[in-house]
Amino acid sequence: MHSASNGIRWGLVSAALALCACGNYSNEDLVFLSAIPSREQLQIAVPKAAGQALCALGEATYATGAQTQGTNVDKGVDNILGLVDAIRAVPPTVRDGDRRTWGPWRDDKHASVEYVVTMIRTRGATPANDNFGYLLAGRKDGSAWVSLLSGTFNGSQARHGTGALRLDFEGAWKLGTNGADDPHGAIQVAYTLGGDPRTIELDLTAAPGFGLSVYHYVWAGYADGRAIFDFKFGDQSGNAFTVDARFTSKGDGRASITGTAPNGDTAHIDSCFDGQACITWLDDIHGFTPACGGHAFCKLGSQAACPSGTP
Amino acid sequence: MQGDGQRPAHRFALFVGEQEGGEDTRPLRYAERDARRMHGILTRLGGVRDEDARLILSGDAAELRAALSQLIDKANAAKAAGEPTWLLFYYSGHSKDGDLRLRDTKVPMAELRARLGEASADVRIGLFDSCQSGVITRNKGARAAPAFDVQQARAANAGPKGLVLIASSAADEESQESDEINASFFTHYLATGLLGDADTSGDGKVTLAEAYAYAYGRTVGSTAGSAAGAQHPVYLYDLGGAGDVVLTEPGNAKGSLLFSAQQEGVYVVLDGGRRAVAEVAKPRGEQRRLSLAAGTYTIKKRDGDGLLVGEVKIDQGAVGFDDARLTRRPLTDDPQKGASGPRWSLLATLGRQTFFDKGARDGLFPPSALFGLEVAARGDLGHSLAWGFDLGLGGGDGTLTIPDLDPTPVKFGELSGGGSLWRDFHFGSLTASVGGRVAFIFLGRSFPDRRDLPGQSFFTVTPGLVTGLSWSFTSSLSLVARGRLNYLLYSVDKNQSLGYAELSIGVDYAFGE
Repeated sequence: MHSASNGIRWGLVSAALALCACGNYSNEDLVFLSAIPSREQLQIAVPKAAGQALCALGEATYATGAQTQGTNVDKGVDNILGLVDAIRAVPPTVRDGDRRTWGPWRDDKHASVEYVVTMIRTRGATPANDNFGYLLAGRKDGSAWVSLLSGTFNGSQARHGTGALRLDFEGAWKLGTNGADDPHGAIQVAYTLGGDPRTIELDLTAAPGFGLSVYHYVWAGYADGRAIFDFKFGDQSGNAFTVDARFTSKGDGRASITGTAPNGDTAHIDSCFDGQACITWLDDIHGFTPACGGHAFCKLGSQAACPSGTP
Repeated sequence: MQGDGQRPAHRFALFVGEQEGGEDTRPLRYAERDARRMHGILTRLGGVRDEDARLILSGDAAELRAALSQLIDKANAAKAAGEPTWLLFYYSGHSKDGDLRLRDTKVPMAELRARLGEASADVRIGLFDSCQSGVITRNKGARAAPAFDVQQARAANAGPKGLVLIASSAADEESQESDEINASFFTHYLATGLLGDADTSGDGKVTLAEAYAYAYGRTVGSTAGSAAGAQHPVYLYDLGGAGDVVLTEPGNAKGSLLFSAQQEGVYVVLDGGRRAVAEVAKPRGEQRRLSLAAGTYTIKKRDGDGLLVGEVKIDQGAVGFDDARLTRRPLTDDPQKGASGPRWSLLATLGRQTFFDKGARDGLFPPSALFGLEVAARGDLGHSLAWGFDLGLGGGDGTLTIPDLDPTPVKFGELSGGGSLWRDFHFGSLTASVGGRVAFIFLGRSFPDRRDLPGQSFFTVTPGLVTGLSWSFTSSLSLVARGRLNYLLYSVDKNQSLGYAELSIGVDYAFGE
């Protein structure tokens, strides 16, 4: 009897240990996580135009401004990705074939609010045709789930496919987790990472944020280092400038700028700049550019100095 | 070593230890250790070269007969080449009804006596430490006496020639083992004597006569008060020629432990495994010298209601010690306590692990190098069973190749710990083993080129089979080839349990003699 009870005890211990087989060692998890773009993958790379040189025709501030605006766009995209990036740190709560669920978990700052992330894969004919959809939702006091962030991705993994994310501020307002300065509406990110160029778009037309002007920012980066960046910025006088900047891999390039004054007047400037962010050619009908000294129909430099390798 | 007076004898020796005696017997605990101990002493101090010695542990009758025939043939060849030759047979195990009992097989003692009697070696010695082993000495001239009568032999001119049989107990007596000394009484005292304590003449040599007289006295003295009654060794001495039969020459050994003339009492010398290697009854006024292999030894001496305990390190020279420098301990703190169990060994291995399924190798668990340590215990379960615990650490680099991802570099690691139970099969110096194992394993991987992918890990249980082949090249060291077949219970996404193999080689060190 003694040995029998010992045997039962050891059997139970062994069974318990066998049942505790546990962990996140999963190839499928890797596939799901690879469908979510990483911060590095959605990083804007604007060729660096070195500023602060003594420029004969003046500094191309829109070229150096592209760096600043690019950094701001990166921060904005980072903020959005950060919301879903957290799931990389914890294993899914539920693995169910083509579905993964993380959570629900409680909000540290709002005890009555909980979140859940759900990710669903729709298989295509080949892995390259798979489609992934994911949703970060929240609810308060057990009420209906509200979408906070949603995304889609087509392809086998983010670095080869196309995708989009949508950050819904309305959801945060409904849950009461919004910041005081949060806008209403939605911010959207779209990206294409598989081809050349890679494109990343940040659409702030429906809801401003991240210290950026209301605009649809578009960046396209080529494998050889060339880039196109459409952005908008303002100056201290209240003027706003939308810029279509095109860079070679060396950092020189050309830009087409539309300036809008506070009274609504608009002006158009075409220019080229070198790798030191110095203007090499300028066509400024209204003489906005300081180097024009306020003279309209200002043309400076030679158009022949414009680089030929821009996109 | 002594031969014909001019040349040393070429010595051949067979040592057999078998703990299982088959039907109607209880497993012995120390027979294998006895044989290992005698093998170690005779090869170190007795002039028996390693290549001329055979050690059979847990063998059967066929193996014994084959090994004996082989040694007799070698001895005959040496004799035919003109060398003086000696042949020694030692047995520790069961015997009953006139047979040596090796598991379920038997060897009649009459057959052994005949084989030894007919061998052409100049001197043939049979040492039997088993119950009722005195049966083998039943003949004209057999004696149950405390010492040999060798007066007639000394009168002759030639070197010693003939047959000597020594049995640990009379034909109607049991031979006894003791947990206190981790050995059978007779072998324990015979070994102590051969290490030098029996050298009553003080010439640095222990003769057969000295060894027998010593073992007889100590065995009878120690067993007189036992429940089984006194055990009396017996002998058959049929030697002609001149000169003593020198069994060991501890005086020529490099390392030794010295007992000064002033020291008095019973000193027990323990090896690194806390097993007794000698028990010296030291009278005041005599100097004693005990030849020991290099190592650290513990000395203990009973002193009133306590113990005196100390350590000595034996290397190349003679080392003495002083009773006054031994530490006094209570009897409950006996350093030998707990040493009566199994013979422990430590195995270190290097090897490789691989999964049978290619998809698993490419996509989950890449082949990896393994380092392992295993502590094993032998001799406490009987039936040649052994058990042990192991720890393994492994890892390697690979490339994760699965359909939905680009080939991704991966770093893989594993940590495992398991328990095994196996049976040893001895074939001379080779031992094969087969058994089972259950282990727990922790597997982990990371993706150094993909910061967006988190590290992953898994903990599970792996039952499996274990097999091995070892070759003992000294009494303590063995080369080991080890194989394991494991089944990994793996079910993160779905049940994907699968098999894998581990192959490794290593060195095993057995503690104690």
